[in-house]
Formats: sequence, C-alpha cells, structure tokens
Amino acid sequence: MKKNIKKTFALGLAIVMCIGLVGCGNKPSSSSSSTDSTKVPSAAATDEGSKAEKVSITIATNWGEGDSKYDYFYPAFQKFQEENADTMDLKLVTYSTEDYKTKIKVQTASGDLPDVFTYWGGSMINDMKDAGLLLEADQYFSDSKAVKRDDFNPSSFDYYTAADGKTYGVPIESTRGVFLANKDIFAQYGLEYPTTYEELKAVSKVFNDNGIIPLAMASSGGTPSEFFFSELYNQYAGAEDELKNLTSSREFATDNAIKVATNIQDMIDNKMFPEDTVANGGWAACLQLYTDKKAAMTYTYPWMFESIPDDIQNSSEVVAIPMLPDATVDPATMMTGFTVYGFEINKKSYEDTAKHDAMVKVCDFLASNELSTELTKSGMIPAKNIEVDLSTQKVIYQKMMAFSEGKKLIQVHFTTMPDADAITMMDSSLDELFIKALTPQEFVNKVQSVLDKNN
Amino acid sequence: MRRFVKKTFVEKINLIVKYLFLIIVAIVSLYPFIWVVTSSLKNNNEIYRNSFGLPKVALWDNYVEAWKGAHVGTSFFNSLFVCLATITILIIVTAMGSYILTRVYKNAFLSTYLSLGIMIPIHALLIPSVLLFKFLHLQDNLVSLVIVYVATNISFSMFIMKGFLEGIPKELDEAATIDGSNLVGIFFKIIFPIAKPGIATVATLAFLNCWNDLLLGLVLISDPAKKTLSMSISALKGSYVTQYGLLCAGFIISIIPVVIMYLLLQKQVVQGMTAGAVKG
Amino acid sequence: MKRKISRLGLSILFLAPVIFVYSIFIFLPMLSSLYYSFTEWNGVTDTAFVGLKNYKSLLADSDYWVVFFNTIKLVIITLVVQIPMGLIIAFLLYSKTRGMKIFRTIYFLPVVIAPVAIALMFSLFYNSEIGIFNIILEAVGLDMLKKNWLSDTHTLLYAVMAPQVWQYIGLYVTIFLGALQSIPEELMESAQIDGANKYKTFLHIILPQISSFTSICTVLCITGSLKAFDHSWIMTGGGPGVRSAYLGVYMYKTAFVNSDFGMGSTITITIITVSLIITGILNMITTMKSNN
Repeated sequence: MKKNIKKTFALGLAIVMCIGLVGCGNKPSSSSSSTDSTKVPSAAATDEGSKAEKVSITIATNWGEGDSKYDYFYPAFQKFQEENADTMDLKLVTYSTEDYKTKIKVQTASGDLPDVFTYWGGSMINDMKDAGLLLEADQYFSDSKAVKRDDFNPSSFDYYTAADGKTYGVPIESTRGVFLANKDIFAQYGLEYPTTYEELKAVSKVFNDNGIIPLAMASSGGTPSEFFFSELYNQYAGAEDELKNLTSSREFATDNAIKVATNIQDMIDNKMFPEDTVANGGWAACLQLYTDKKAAMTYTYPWMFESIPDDIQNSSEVVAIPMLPDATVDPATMMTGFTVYGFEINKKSYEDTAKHDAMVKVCDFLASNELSTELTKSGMIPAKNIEVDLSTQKVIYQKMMAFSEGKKLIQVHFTTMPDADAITMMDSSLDELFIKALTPQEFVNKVQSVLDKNN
Repeated sequence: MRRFVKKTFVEKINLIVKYLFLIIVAIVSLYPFIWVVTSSLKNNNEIYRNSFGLPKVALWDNYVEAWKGAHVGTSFFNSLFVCLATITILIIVTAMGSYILTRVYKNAFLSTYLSLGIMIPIHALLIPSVLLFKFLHLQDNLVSLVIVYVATNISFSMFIMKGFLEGIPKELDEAATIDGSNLVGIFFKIIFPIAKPGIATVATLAFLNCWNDLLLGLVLISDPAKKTLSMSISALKGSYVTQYGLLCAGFIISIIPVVIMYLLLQKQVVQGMTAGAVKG
Repeated sequence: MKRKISRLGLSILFLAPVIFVYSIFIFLPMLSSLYYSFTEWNGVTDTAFVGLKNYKSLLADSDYWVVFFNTIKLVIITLVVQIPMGLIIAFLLYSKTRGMKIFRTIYFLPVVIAPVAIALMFSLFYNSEIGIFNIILEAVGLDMLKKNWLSDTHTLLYAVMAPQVWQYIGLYVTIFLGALQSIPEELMESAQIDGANKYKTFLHIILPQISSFTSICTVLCITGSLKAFDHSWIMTGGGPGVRSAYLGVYMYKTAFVNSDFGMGSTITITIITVSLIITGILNMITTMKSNN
C-alpha cells in the first residue's frame, strides 16, 4: 500500500523531471535561455550587447491556421522569413480573434505589445494610443523606401487616425458590403430582384409560402446585423454626414436611426429573416442558410467569400438593396466601403536602434503589394492602390467589383463610433431589437446612453 | 410467502427501472462525445446540413490538419509537463496543508482564508498575474504557468481534501502517536495512503482544470514554442468562419489524454477503496 | 515542551507552502481587485481614485440587476438539479450495479469535453431551421411546443443554462461516488441487518455520513455558477442584450471588451461578496441543523 503510493509519486515526479529536462534541453537551441524569461523587456539590451546576434522580431496576428487568410498569408510569411533568416529571428504568433483581443488587451496593460501586429483601428486602438505604445504611421513612411503614404487610398487612413489627427497604424484590408440574390431561386418562382420595399415584401411572401427564407439576415453579437443597419442607414437624407461626424458629434440617436430600426422590425414582422435570429446569427451561420439554398438573399462581406461554394458563386448576383419606404437616397448609387483591418507598430521596438532596420523591413513586408495581392485571393479588397488581376479572383469577387463600379462608398457605424463600449452596446442591443425585446426607441436610447456616459 | 414473491417482483421492477434510468443517462452523456467525433470528420457544410448523422465521407484530413495546425508535437508536451508538475506539487502542498488544518491545528480563520479563492473569477486574475510575473521576470515561462495553476487550484483542492481527511477516524493518529511516530511519520504512513480517493479526486479535477485552461496560458505565454495544447487548439478558430470539423478534431486530440488520465486514476480510487476495506 | 515546539514548527512547515503560494498569487490579486474597484482604470493609463462611484453606478445599472438575477437563477437551478442528480446517480451506481465502472466513465465524459464544443452542439440543436429539438417535438406531435429557443425571451436564459447544468452532473457523480465509497462497509451492513429499507438507509445512514461532501458540492455549485462564463459567452455572448449573461460574463465584458477594469473589479468584488453571503447562510443553516 505504502509502496504503491510512493511508487506512483516517484513515477509522477520522474516523468515531470524527464519532460522538464527534455523541454529545457530543447529550448536553448531556439533561443538562449537567459533571454527566455524576460524576452520583451531585456531583448533589446541583449541584442545590443552582441552585434552578431540576430534581431528577434515577433509578429502577432489572428490570421491563424483556421482563418481564411492563413493559406495566403503563411506562404508569403515563410518566404520572407527564409529570405531574412541570417539577420532576423522572426516569430509569428497566431491567435483566434477572441483570444487575440484579450491577449492584446493584457499586453497593452503590461506594456509588452508584440513588435508588429495586425489589428483593428478606430475606437479599438484608443487605449494603446493613449498609453503611447503605438508608432505614428508617418514616421514609418518617412523611413521606408518601399512604402509611401501615397500608395494607399487616402480615405483608408481615416480608420487609423485618432482624435489628435495623427495616424496610428497602416491599413491593409478594405471591404464592401454585398447584397446577394440567388438567381436560380428567383427564376424558379418567376420573380424579379426587388428594388423597392413593396417589391421586397411581395417576393418575401412568395418565398415564405414556399418554405424559403427570403433574406438570410440575423443578429448574434451584432453580426451581421450591425453592418446591415449601417447600410440601410445610408439611405436616409443627411445620414452620410451624420455617420462621418459620429466620432466628434457623439450623436447616435438620430431620427434616421429610429427609422432604420423601425423598418428592421417591420421586416421581422413580414418574416423576411429566419425565425431564430440568435441561433442563425454570426457571419458563418447566417451565410450558411444562403449557401444551403434555404434562403434566397443575403447580405455579407468579402471575408466570407472563401465559404461560398463555386456553384453558389455562379448562381449569385450582387444587387442593390431595396429602397426603404421612407428613404430618400437611392441605394443603387452606393455601397458600404471602408477600411477594416491593418497593422500596428510597437513604438518602443521601432525606436530601439538594434531593431529599427529589421522593423522597417517587417513593416515593408506587411504593407507590400505582393502580400496584399496574395490576400485578395481570400476575398480581401486591398487598402493600397494596386491593380488586382480580376481573372485570378473568385467569380463572386469579380461580380462584386463589377457592381461597385461607379458606386459611392459609404461609412458604417463600426468605424466611426467613438467608443468601443458603444459598439458593444450597439451589437448586443441589435440582438435584442431582432428578437423584438426592444422597441426602436429603446434600442437607440441604449446606445446613446453609453456615448453620453463616456462624454 | 405471498409477501416474499411480491417483494421480488417489486425488486425486479426496481432493478429494471434503475438500469433503464442509468442507460438513458449514459446515452445522454455519451452523445455529445459521439457528436464531437462524428463532427470531427465533417466539413462545415455537412455539420450544418447533417448535424446529427454520420459523415457521408469521413474527412480524416481534419485530424492531420489539426495535428499540424495545433503543433501538437510541441504543445502536447508543454501541456503534459505543466499539468503533471502542477498536480504533483498541488497534491503535496494541499495534502500537507489540509492535514494540519483538519487534524493538528484546526483554525477556522485560515480555512476560510484559503477557501476564498474558490470565489474569484479567473478573469479577475489575468492582469494581476501578468504584472506579477513580469515583476518576477518569469514572463513567457512555463514555470509561471505551473505556479499560477497550483495557486488557482489550491482553494478547491484544500476543500475536497479536508472533506476526505475529516472522514478518517482520529484514533488512527493517536495509535500512531503512541507507536512513536511523529507528525511527518503519521502524515506519510497513515494519512497519505488513506486519503487516496481524495487525492485522486483532486488530481482528476485539477488535471482537468489545467489541461483545459485557455486564458491563463493565453496571457502568460507568448512564445509559440511554449504554447499549451488548449491554446494551440483555440488558435484553429477563424476570425469570421471557424472550420468546426477541424476544431472538433483538435478537441478529440486533447480529450484523449484526459480520458486516459481519468481511467488510470479511477483504478487508483478503486484500489485505495478495497485496500481500505480490507484493512478496516 | 520540546515536542510541542517541534509540533508547531512542523505545522508551520506543512502549512507554509500552501499559504505562501495562495497569498501571493490569489489573495494579492484579490486585494488589488478590491483596490481597483474604487478607481477608474482602463487597464493602461494611471488609476484614478473615485471612491464608491463604481459601486453606486453599478447598483443603479439595470443591466447589472438583470445579470445578477440571471446568476441567482443559475445558482438555484444548478443546486436543485446537479446535486440531487449527482447524488441519485452516484447512489444507484454504488448499490451493487453491474458495469459500474463503465457507467461512471461514461457519465464523466461530458465533463472533459470543451465547453466550446458543447455550446456549438447545443446552438445547432436549438436552431429554428435545422435544430433537433424542434424536429423531435414535431415528430411526437407536440408542434405547439416548438420554440425559437435562443430568440424567445422566455426560453432564452434556460436554453443557455441547460447545457452547462447538464454537462457537469458527472462531476458531482464522481465526487459523491468517492464519498459513498468512503463510508465503512460495516455501517451499511449493520443497517441492512437491522432491516432498514433502502430509502431509510439512504436518508438516515448515508446522507449524514456524506454531509461534508454535500456541502463541498454545494459550495462548488454556488461558486461555479457565480463565476459561470463559457457556455453563455460562446452560445450568445451573454446576449441578446444581457439576457443570458451571468456575473462572470458581465465582468469579462466590462473589463476586457469595454476596457473598464475599474468597473470590472467592482463586479468581481460583488461576485466574491455574493459567494460569501450565500455560503455563509448555508453554513449557518447546516450548523443550526446539526445543533438541533
């Protein structure tokens, strides 16, 4: 009995020690164990001490193994890593989106951000900027020989420009909202694509009678409903300016917002959406209804294009959103288009003389035409002014680009909302609006109250 | 006589009802596991279209991709090292602590103090832990994970361990004291062996907590070579679309060691029991 | 005398490691949470002391109370479902059941499955278009019971609770089974010789014997519910609104999504306070009972 217990523990300890030894034995080969424990703060000092040593740079991103961008990003990264193997010790750390936000928040708090990392802009970088952790993009542009500010669409910097007028971050990804209709389903019931709200109601009736969901639109955590809300919002007079000025005016509770919310609830009453808007919410679940031909129309974004099978791409048409009854701006003249993602540069690492040159090189890679071109294959619209060879793109991407020809690009609440918690409130309240647990007025007030509280 | 027959009849019914109940509960408990296994062989389209049936074509590739994507080779051993080190240390320190607090020096204040930790949500520990380990220069080090896992499991382990130790008759200690054993002797010779079911319970639960922990690992470890298994598997989620088949394959890969651990410890519990019964 | 000192010395030696690690890595962060709860802090810039402001605005926040009562409901439901179920199943397994080991392993399986997988599975089960629950209800002719489980304000919270409550029953089965096995055989045998039937044995012999485990499980249940996070966060993100959020979810959302670590700490302190109050009340009840 006694022996038994002792044996078990001796065994346990032995295993632990063995693994420990193996682990320790492995570690020095990848990086010296002295820098191991205090990588971020002391790496600079160690590197300066021995010039011959390679510069260690960490890139963090949420374009991980399960992400649609990974297949295009990773080979490009590997190539870059190999090319610089003799000067740089490049580390790529990937996280899922939710984990990534938490990680970056904690690293912001401890002041240990990665050297370079992909991230959102707008209200999501306020804290890091306030803490002085981010480099001004213009400083990088002035140092870089390969990348200039003029290479980008000027409006793409808006999302990364803070209230102080300075730009913190380099945009990579732009996007467009697309309203898709399955032409086969429309043809099957002899229907035309609706352009007015009355027509939308009429086709919805036919689809509902035949057991087809008219429009795959739902709301879980505000996706995809938040962008849909913004898209509809732009149909009203003055909405465009209201959205543009939201950051400074802090006025979410406009008459137009109430009009949109009221119309959304009318759409729900007319059974245009799936019955269960929470379970069918989120980008993937919502699109799935459309790709499974359970729904005739949907509203989605290019980052979902990887999930649309070829046959559905072929039978999909990009069409204009029907015009709401009390709207004044013709939706056929516009579509949402905005910068949504890019990368941030760690100020401390950039200003570290030992790392500086390597940092510029890494940034050049992330901002390169080559990488952006690769990423377009996942459905991404580049924030840079580069010619995309459409023939190499997905059918649906080509259709989107053809449709966006001559369209005015409009903003969304997501990029212009001044506070991150106001976006959170908008998302969770939209979920409530969709299950009719809130009236349009209550919904608008809830979001406004967050903006008022922070002011 | 009549009463006797009737009783066995009732007993038979009872028995049938009992097994029926146990089997239904078993099916309900087994189903999610089966669901995760079947889903791990599907792609997203099939998970949505055919969520409950068997996969039409088994996508074994999911396992290959999950294995590669999650860097199972490294992260598995990181997890194993951290978890085994954690439970070994945890069991020794909590067994010692709860032994004193239940049998030698009963102290309500200390007991309450140590149990407070059960109540703190893990998210409240994230930032303080990171700052603390930064201060200790233990950032990005698996040792920091071991320490923090031991710490977060102390409260509930003490709680369970004390429950078990309280059930062991006091006379045993007294007899041993008369025999001339001191505190250390009693602890290792008498208490530790008898508390085996308690230790196995604590070990199972603590192992599970460490093995499945994502958040503490996420915030304390940045080096990809030191990622734990649950971190690597969580990284398989996409930013807009998650390949659930891939993720489920990852889950299966990570569940297997836990199940093995449980089966092994279960044997220990049973052994400890029968040994105790023989002795008693 | 000498012996006494060495006894004390050994006691300290035995207690030191656990108290040391706990104090630094759990209690210190708890204290810092207490401090932050009196400050305004976004996790980055300096903290600003604001006294009881966070507490006042939290108590005036209607969302907080929704979340608070959601959590209390979860506590009650887990207590009423998990502990009796765990106990009953453990007792059935304990009383000379064939295949006990297999059953025990199977019952424990859900506990080891990642909540992400369970939550995903249930989201699909609840789905109005493809969900199995509605298909079953239709098949057995109970169409009127069909619901949009996650989109109906009446069922939403319970739909989110169900997988969590169910998933961890196996944990309590395991603990109770260990407890039952620690009851001396003779006690059970003598009870059977006395002619006590199963229910009487259960009520008068077994329950008192395992009372310390019942209180362990009760505390685990309560504190687990008060900290509950995963299922709600994954299935609905605590939403729509905060309708399926618990205190743990609300705390995470406040601190990590909205970067309001001051308020997040305030919520943490309320979680600890509520835990203390509930377990305190339970302790009082049990001591009163045992005194009677």
